[in-house]
Parts: sequence; structure tokens; C-alpha cells
Amino acid sequence: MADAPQLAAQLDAAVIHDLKNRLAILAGELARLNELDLPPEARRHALAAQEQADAVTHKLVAYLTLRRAAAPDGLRANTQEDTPALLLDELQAEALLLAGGRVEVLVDAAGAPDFWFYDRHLVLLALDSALYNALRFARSRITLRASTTAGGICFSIRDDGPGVQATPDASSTGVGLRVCEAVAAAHRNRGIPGHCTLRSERDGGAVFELHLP
Amino acid sequence: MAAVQPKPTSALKVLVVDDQQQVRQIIRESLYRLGIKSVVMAANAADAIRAMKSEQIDIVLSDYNLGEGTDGQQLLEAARSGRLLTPVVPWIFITANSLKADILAAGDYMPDGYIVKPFTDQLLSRYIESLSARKQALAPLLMAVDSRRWDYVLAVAEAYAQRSDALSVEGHRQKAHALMRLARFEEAHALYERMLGLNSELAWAQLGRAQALRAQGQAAEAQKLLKRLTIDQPSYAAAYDTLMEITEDAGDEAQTLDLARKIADLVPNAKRKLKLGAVALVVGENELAIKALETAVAKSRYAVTPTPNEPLLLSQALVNGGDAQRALTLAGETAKRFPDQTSTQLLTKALSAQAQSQLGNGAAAAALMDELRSHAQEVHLDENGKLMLAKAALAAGQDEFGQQLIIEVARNNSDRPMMLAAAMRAAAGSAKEAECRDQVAAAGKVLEDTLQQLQAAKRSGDLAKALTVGEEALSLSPQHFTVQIELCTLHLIAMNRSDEDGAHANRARELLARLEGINPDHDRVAAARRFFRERVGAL
Repeated sequence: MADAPQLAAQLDAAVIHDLKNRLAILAGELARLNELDLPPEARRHALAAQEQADAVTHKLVAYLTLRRAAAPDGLRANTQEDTPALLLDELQAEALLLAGGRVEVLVDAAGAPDFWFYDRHLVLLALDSALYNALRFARSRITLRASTTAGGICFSIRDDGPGVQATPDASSTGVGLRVCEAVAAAHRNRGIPGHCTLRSERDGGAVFELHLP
Repeated sequence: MAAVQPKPTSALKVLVVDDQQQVRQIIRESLYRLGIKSVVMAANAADAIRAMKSEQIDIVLSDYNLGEGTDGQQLLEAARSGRLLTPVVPWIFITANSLKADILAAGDYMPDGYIVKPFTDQLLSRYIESLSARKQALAPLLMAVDSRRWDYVLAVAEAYAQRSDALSVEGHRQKAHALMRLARFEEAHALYERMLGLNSELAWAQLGRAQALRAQGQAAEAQKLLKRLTIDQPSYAAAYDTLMEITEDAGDEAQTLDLARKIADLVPNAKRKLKLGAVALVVGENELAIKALETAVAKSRYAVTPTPNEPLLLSQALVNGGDAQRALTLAGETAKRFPDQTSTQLLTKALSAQAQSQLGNGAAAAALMDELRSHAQEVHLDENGKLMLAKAALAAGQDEFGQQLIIEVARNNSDRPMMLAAAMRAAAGSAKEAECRDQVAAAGKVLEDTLQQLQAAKRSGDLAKALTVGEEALSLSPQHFTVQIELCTLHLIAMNRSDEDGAHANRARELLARLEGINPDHDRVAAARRFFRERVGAL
């Protein structure tokens, strides 16, 4: 017979699984709805509904990541070789979809190594969180970059919004940055952990950086 | 290396496996929008296996959670181990849990990628295209590995290792693996170190380094590294496997059981539950054995190529636990399920004889024993099988036959402390328990003395004497691993010195063939094989 925490964990897992399946169905239905020839007002509502479904999924994923990071085993990076340029392509595709034409999304992988070692899934999760933030504040442009650094690789997301200090924080729970910190800390190489920063740029906008050893 | 032309995405045949009809439909529509019209749908593992057998599938998109019965990971294992797909076919999991990676990393077979629900058409398209392209680019290497011709794998892997892209890492990985299989342990070790110089957290390179150290006789150092790896990467099952081999060799029952339990929790498939059940049986943890083997039997129900091991061991555990009636029923069912396997027929009779004795049906037990004894010599049994037979003989009052089998197991396994302990336990509760215990200990002592004589002859450089002692030891313990590998090595040395009539080469070949049958992956067998090939050529 399972004990109370075990039963609670099983219940959580079952509910989360069900929720995510239903979200998948909801997102699928909304995607189909958006393919129809809708009147402008209906289209606006359908797109807003799709955005909300995506945002709920995103929050749920962030919550699960942080919960895992807080568990005794912590969050562990399953380090494999990967191609940073392809990862940025994937992120750009998602950003363009989320931006809906409101901002342009550029990729700069010229300084990226051909391959590097990290947990692709976790890195995407972190960059995804930073991207959501950038999309909220960008005026017209977001730049996704990967570059070689002295100690490893740096992924960055830069927006041309008001910058960190000026960022209105009323609706932010800080979950996104905590997810990024957890993902960075899950990566190590020869004893050196990853880290991340969020700062304002001198010439305007905010830049998020994920440094992986 | 011939370039492989990838199929255009629209020409791919995709198998979609999901227990929810609505989700299957959504995925199919996504695929249609991407131009993929050839979509095969499966609602469960059985449908998926049927589809893989009958259709030429190019990509599998499978949900991880498939409702009741087999889950996605088990289906992947069945497909890959049953060779229902070529190694080039990408397997993508569609999961509802974004952290499924932790679970997936633990499996015996890894998926090529996974997508978290809900996903966009663009993301699905990118996954399909990038994974197909990677697998196509790796096809020559994957096919070489599949052939298990390690010289060939080494050559193909070397070409990939020379590249400067992400595929070079896979080239290095397979090159190191091939070097291990070819018993070039030092070179493999150096390559693993080189990879760890790139990133110290690469789990496969950490494991490879530990295995290379173990193969070079540094088991304690390997154990230390593996323990650290299991702390850093608690879901990396392969690290526990190697650790368990080391503790088994050392006869550490408690550690071995603990590791078997951890692995079975981590990768709860039939294979791991069977291993846990087998270890629990050997160390006398019968309740745990029953529980693990019941799960193994339930999980192996969906196996592509079912084996009788799960029900046979469960039946033994049930007899040990006093549930003779259930054991009898299970043994009967197993005999019917595997009618053409002579060893299974023999063992189900042995288990039935044990159960009948326990139920007080002495005559039925004796009749079964008479029936199986006439065939016992013709059938090759593994050590667990011999102990099942020994227990049946002792239970049916055929003490001499039972003792003889126990001594045989003891003689063949004096270098395996856990098997020796199991041989002693086989007689537990019988009238001959004390006698068997003494005989097992004596058999171990005789072998130990003989091996010491052999080592002394080797140290003094008396090869002829070492060969004579070795041959004597082999006649006493024909299936003893250490005796066989020692003798094989001696014949290889003799062959290298002078072997005009080829007698030593022939004897070494013969012993090597036996060793390949028992433990082809053992480091010393690999080293002997390499030596033989280098001196004589193909086996």
C-alpha cells in the first residue's frame, strides 16, 4: 500500500497527465479553428484563446521543472552533443509563431561552436522561458544568439524593450528566471556549473544570457 | 562512405501510437498538413507491433503513456530488441510530461527524440526532418554496429570521428565501444578520457572509462567511479548494471540485491524484474523474488519473443514459498506454452515434482523424476536449471542424483561465490543439507588447490605442467569459467611458442568457442579472441 506522499504524487502525476493531454487537444482544436475562414473578430478571439492555451502549458512546464529542481535528487542534465545553430532555429520558429508578426526574430549563430554538450531539452526549456519574457517587452525585435566563450557556450536572447530596471513586474512571478537558474545549475563541466544573467543593455533593451560550461 | 539519399518527408510512412483516438487524429492531421499522407495508426502496443511487422515504417511517433498494459518505453524495447525496425528508423516519443527525459534516459533503449504536448506543426516537422536526417547521416555506422563486426565498426566509426560536426562524437563513441569489443582496452580508455576532456559529465564516457579500467584489472577503481556516476546521474541504468557485475563477481549478496532492486525500480521492464527475481532467489529473499517475478511474468506477456525464464523462476519461488498448487499450475501452463523446448519441458517436470512432493503426492513426484531422469543427460541446462532439478530430486527422495547435481554446480562455479551459496541453499531443508554443504565446500577447496597448482606452474615457467594441471581441472569442472579461460590462454601461449601440428591452436579454438557460448562479452574472452585472431586468423 502506498503512503500518503506517494499517493499524492501519483494523483499529481495522473492529473497533470490528463491536463496536458486536454491542453494538447485544446491547442489542436484552436489550431484547426484558426485555419478556418473566420470573421476578423472571431479570429482575434481564437488567436487569443490559442495564446492562453500556450501560456498555461508554459506555466505548467515551468512549475514542473521547479518542483523537480526542489526534489532531493534535483534537476540533472542529461548531457549529450548537440548543434547550437539548430537549437536556435527551433527556438526562432517558436518565437515567430508566438510573436504573430508583432516583432521580428533574428538568429545569430555565426560565433557558435559546431557542437557542444548540454541537455537539449532543458536548455530549450530555459530559453523558452526567457523568450516568453522577451516577447512581452520587445518593441520590434528579438535577437537569438549562440557564441563560444572562454569557458563554454553562451546562449543569449536580446530584446529592444525598456530594459530590466524599467520592466513593469506586477504580472511577473519570477518563475521564468528561476527555471533558467535551475537549468543552468543542472549543467556542470569539470566542477564548474552553468549560470545565467538578465541585464539591461547600455543602448537599450534587456539581454538574457545562459552560460554553459 | 556512400552517401545515403534521404527520403523526402512527404514520402515517409509514419506509425502513430496513442491510446487516445482524439490525439491520434490530431497528430494525423498535423502530419497531413506537413504533406505526410502515409500514416499508420495504432491504439496500443499490440497494434503497433503488428504494424511494425507488416509495414515498412520510416518513423515512429509514440505516446509514452499508452494506458493499460505496455507503456511506450516497453514498446520501444520490444521493437528494437525484436529487430522489428532497422536501427535507422527514428523513434520519437510524444509525452505529456516535459520532464520525461529523466525517465527516458533510464531505459535500455533510448528514443531518438521526444516532443512535449501540445506541439505545433512546425515543431513536429522540424523533429521529423532533423531526426531523419541525423539517422540517415549515421546509417552506415548504425548498420555496422548492428552487424556486430567490430573490426568493421572500428573502420566506419573512425571515418565519423574525423568529422568536425556533432556526428564526430557518435563516431568517437562507437569507436571506443568497438575497441572494447576488440579487447583494445588501453586505447579505449584513452579515447574515453579524451571525450571526458571535452565534457566531464558525459555519462557514456564515464561508464566506458570505468569498464575499460575494470577490463584492465582495476575493478576497485572502476567501482569507485561508477558509484560516483550513479550519484551524479541517478537514472543512468547502465552504470548500475556494471556495478552489479562487479559486486556479483565479489560475491557481495547484499550489494548485488540492492543494485538489482534499484535498476528494477529505475527501468521496470520484464528483463530487469527477471534479474531482480533471479538475484533474490539466489540470495534466498523469496518474498521479493515472487513479487519481482510476478511483475516480470505480467510484463513479458507482450514480449515479441517470449522466453520461459520468468514463469520457471516464479514457479520455483512459489514452491520455495510453500504455494505448491500455484507453482504446479504455472509449471503446467509453461510446459504447454513452450512445447518444443526440451529444457523447458524438463524443468517444468522438475518444478512439478517439487510441488507434488510438497503436496504430499510422493508417488506423483517420483514418477515425474523417473520420467525426466531418462532425458536429463541429453538436455543442456544452465546452473539455475540444474539447481531446480537438484531440489526436485532431493524432494522426491532421489538424494544421490540431487547431491550429484549440486556438486556439479559447485565444481563449475567455485569462482562465483553467489552461485556457490545458491548451491548450498538448494539442499536447505532436505535430509542431505549438512552433507551437501560439506561437499560444496570441499568441491570449492579442490578447485582452489588445483588453480593454485596451475598458477605455481605458470610462475615457474613450466608450461607443460600448467597445461596438464589445467586439463585435469577442466575434466573435473568442465563448465568452470576461470578454468576454461586459463586453459585457453595456456594453449594460446603454447601455440605461440611452437605448434607444428596445430594441436594447441585447435584446442584453443575449441575452448574459445565454448567460452563464446558462455560469456562472449567477458573482457578475458575478448582478449583471447583477439590474440587468436592476430596469430591464426579467423576463428
